[in-house]
Parts: sequence; C-alpha cells; structure tokens
Amino acid sequence: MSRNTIAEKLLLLKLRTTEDPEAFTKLYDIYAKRIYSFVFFKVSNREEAEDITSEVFLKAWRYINEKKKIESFSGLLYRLARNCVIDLYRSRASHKEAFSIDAGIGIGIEIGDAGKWKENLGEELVNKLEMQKIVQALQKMKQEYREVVTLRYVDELEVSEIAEITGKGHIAIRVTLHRGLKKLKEILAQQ
Amino acid sequence: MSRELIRQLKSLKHAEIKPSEKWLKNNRALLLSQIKNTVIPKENAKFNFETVWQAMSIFLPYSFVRNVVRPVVVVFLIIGMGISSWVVAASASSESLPGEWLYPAKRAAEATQVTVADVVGDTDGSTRLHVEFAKRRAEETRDIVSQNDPDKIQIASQTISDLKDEMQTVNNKLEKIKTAQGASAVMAQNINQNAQEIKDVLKEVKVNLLTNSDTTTGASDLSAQVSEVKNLAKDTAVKAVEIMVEKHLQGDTSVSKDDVKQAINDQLQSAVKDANDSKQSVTEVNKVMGVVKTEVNELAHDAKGTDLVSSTRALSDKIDATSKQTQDAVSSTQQFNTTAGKTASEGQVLLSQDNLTQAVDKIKEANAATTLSEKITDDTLKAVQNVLPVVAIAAEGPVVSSTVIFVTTTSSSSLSIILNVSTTVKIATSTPAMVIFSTTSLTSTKK
Repeated sequence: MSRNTIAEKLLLLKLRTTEDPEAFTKLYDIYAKRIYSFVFFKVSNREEAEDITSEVFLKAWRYINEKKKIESFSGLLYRLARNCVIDLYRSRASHKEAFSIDAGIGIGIEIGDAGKWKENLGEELVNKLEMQKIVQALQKMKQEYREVVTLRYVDELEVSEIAEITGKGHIAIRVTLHRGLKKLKEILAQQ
Repeated sequence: MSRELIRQLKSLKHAEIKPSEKWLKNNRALLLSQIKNTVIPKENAKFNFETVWQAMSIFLPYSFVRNVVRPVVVVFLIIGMGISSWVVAASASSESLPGEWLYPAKRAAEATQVTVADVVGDTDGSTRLHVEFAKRRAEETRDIVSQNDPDKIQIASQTISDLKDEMQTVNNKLEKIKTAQGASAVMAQNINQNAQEIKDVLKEVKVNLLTNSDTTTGASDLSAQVSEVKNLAKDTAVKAVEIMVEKHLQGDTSVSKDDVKQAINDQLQSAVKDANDSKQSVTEVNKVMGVVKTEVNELAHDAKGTDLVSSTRALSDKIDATSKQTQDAVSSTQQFNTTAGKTASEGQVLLSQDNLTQAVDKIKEANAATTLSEKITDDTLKAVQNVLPVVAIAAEGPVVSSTVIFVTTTSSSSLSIILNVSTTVKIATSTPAMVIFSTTSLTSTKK
C-alpha cells in the first residue's frame, strides 16, 4: 500500500462516518509538516506558509463535512494547498507585487518554487555541488514539468494523487513526468 | 542515470523546511476548537451504503470500488433478491393446490424447471420432472377431492386433465427411451414406479368420489375421467416394464435382472389385486342390494292401500332392476377375477423360466381383464348410487316410520361403506330395540 497507509484510511473513514474532530487532528498530525513544506517552497514566506497550511486544513474539514467524494486525503490536501497558493499569487499579482512571479513565464501565475531553493536548502546541502546543480536545473525547467517532478520525487506522491492535485489524467502525468525527467537530464548534461 | 537522478531528487526532501513545533501545536489546538464549533451533534447514525464503499476503498482503489465493485455488488444484490423472492414464492407455493392463489406460481416454477432441462438438453432430467409433476397432479386431485370446496369437482377435473397431458408427455418420453440407443433402463424403472404410485393415488381419488355424498353433481363424470387416466397410468407402467425388458435383453445392465423380474411380478400381482378388489366391491354391493330389495319390498307391501303405493312400487321395480344388474356384475367380475388370477399365475411361471417378454404379455392380458372388471364395477356402483338416495327419500314418508335404514361407516373405503350398509341394515331389522329411537332416513356418514 502506498503512502496512504491503512491507518490513515481508517482515520478518514472514521472521520467521514462519525465526523470526529479528534480523528481529523490525527490526520493533521500526519500531514501538517508535509503541507507546510509544500506551501513554503512555493511562497517562500514562513507566515504565509503557516496561514495557508491552517486554511488548507480548515477547507479540508469543510470538504469532508460536505460529504464530497475523496479519493485520497493527501491528494485533497495538496490540491487545496495548490489552490491556496494560486489564490495568494493572484492577490499578489493584483497588488503588483511581482516578486514571486517568474519573469520568464509572463502569463501571470507561477506556482513554482519562486527561486528560493538555494536559500532554503540549508548550509550542509548547499555545500553539496550536485544538489545545487539539481536545484538549478529544476529552476530552469518549465513550471509544468517542475511541479510534477517535485511532487512525484521530492514530495513522493503517487501519480494518482498528482493527477488529483493538478486535475490532469494519469497518463498525462506519466507523460509529463517522463518528459520532465528527460528535460532535467538534458539541462544537467548541459551544465 | 534516471535512477540516480531520482535518488538525487529524493534527497532534496531532507532539505525541507519544517514548521516550528510551537506553531504546529498551537495551530492544532486552534483547528480543533474551530472544527468542534462546526460539529452538529448527530442522532444515531443510519446505515449508509456509501460507508461500505468507503470502507472497501481502504483496501482497494476508490475508483475501482466505485466503477467496478459497486456495480457488481448492486447487480448481485438485484439478482440475489430476485432469486430469493422466487425461491420463497416457489417453496411457499409447492404445497399449494389448484384454485389457490399461489398455485400459478407453482406451475410457473415447474414450467421453468422443464424449460431449463430442455434447453440444457437434459433429457433424463426433463423426463424425471414430467413424471414428478404427473405424480403431483395426481396427489393434488386426491387432496382437492377430499376437501369441501363447492367447486372441487370442476377444479379436480382440470387437474385430472393436466395429469392426462403429463402422462401423455411421459408416454412420449418412454417412446424416445425405447428408440434411443444410449438411453438406460433406469429411467423406465423410475417411470414404472411412479406410474404405479399415480395409479394407486387415483384409486384413492375414486374411492373418495364414491364416499363423499356431497359430490354427486359431476362426480360420475370426474370418476370416469379419473378411470381413464388411471388406465393410462397403468398402460404407462406396463410400457415402462416392457422397455425395461427390451433394454435388458439388449444387454443393458443398468437395471438388474432381479429388478426387472420384480417389476413384472409386482405388475402381475397388482392386476390380480385390482381384479379381486373389483369383484369384492361388486359382491358387497350385491349383498346390500339384496337387503335393500327385501326392505323395499316390505315397504311396498306396507304401503298397500295408501297414497304412497304407486311410488313404492316404482321404487321396488327400480331396485329389482338394479339388483339384477349387480348380480350379473358379480358373475362377470368373478369371471374376470379368475381370468386375471390365472393369467398372473401363468406369467409367474414364465417369469420363473426367465421368459420375460411373454411374462410382460401376461401382464397386458391380466390388465385387460382387470380393466373390464373395473369398468363393470364402476357402472354397477353408479347404478346403485342412483337408486340408494331414492330409498332414503321414500323412507322419510310417515307410513314407514317404523322402518329404519341407518347407514354408517367407520372407514374411508367405499367398500366398507357398502359393507356397513349391509350389516347395519341387518342389525336394524333384526333388533327391534333400535327401531324405537332411530330416525327414518338413509344417510351415509364419513368419519
């Protein structure tokens, strides 16, 4: 079984059938750190990451209460987080705070990692040349590839979860992953 | 290269920025308080199928549960409900009788069984079912006739007609068994046994029709119908034995020689028994008629000089005629009984000599004698039944108040009724003490 262990699924089932807040906080304990770092990589701001993480869990609670279908709880959390990040970028864009938008994309919304990889990796990792190279290569990739590759290999989500988060089909995700890895190799080779 | 690249990407995970433990804890508490405010206390949770699908999705992918498991389960539930309701209806209807509301379900179930057997090409199964259903029709007829339903004659008549159809189907199946190369004698043996049972049940039906005084209207027609089907069953049994013999001679060992001989012997004895029963019935009826004749003659004598003289005379003449008929019947049935007995003995001798084919011919001969004997018995009983109620009516007149004809029966057999008529009449006439309190009517009471 994937990351969604049976224990997590049982918790979700308990939550859906009994609407037990305690079960929800147990799920919070499992996912809060992951969602926080996922958001932080995209917004590069501790306060904003904390706010979005809180918002994500509140929205997830409402989602469960509304008895909407959930194929994967982690998928739901990442999707909500992604949407919250998009909302944040939109509000930043409307305030002309362009610091978080990749200049190269130009169409407005960038949900990549805001070029903060290097700063956030910590001293010991920065010292590692290969890590630096990977981060740089990722930064050079198209946002579409970067998002899927990081979700799959850094956040270690299943393809089905990534499909749920991005709203794409499984095959499309696999194709994007394949192309993304190929592109990453090319960039690394060029470096 | 790819594997190495993936490993490097995964190592980036270790560089994740973690939230502060304090914030995590505070946020947890805040979240709990916020969501607790939104929880509405629920009443006892009702069963919801959605929970089942969700529980299943713990072990299977949700999309698989939703797109495959759920439709399959729903289809199974529908089929299951259909089958269970059908089984309940069919089992409840299995005891139903014609005229009851569940009876059509029983017949529909039977028709389905036969159709399924025919479709899958199970010839033996289909034959077995027809034999079984024929037996059911016979038992249904017996049960209907013993009821007090005013429409029972009509219903029984329809059932007998259905039984006739079934017997004809069984006969056709027998023909096929006879001609088919691979067909085994076991099925013929099964048909023989069941046909004998059907014959015995129909014999009971005839007795019931005779003993039930309330079924005079149409009863004689039904009785004739029953006789016809009974003879058909008898013929079927003989035919089945004939096929058993044929198959045996062709080298079929599925039924042992002893079983074939036993079947022939049973049929011979059955023919003798039937002929003997007929003879006894007629003999007893004749005895009764003798007593009744004497009684009525006395009535006629007593009625001289009264206004009842002409009616009693007419009755007396009628009784005389019927009495003559019964006397003739006694000699005929005696003759047939002797013939049947003799033929059966010859058959048994042939059987001991292992001459099976000729022994079967003897069954046919004995049966022919028995059938004729039974026909005479039926006609005689019908004639007697026609005059006996007249005796009852005439006996109700004031003039004959001193004469008692009290009929009673303690058994369900028509033979016993007739016998009891005879003995009771004798007692009534020979013991004057009974005359004082007895009513002047001829009744037959079935206990």
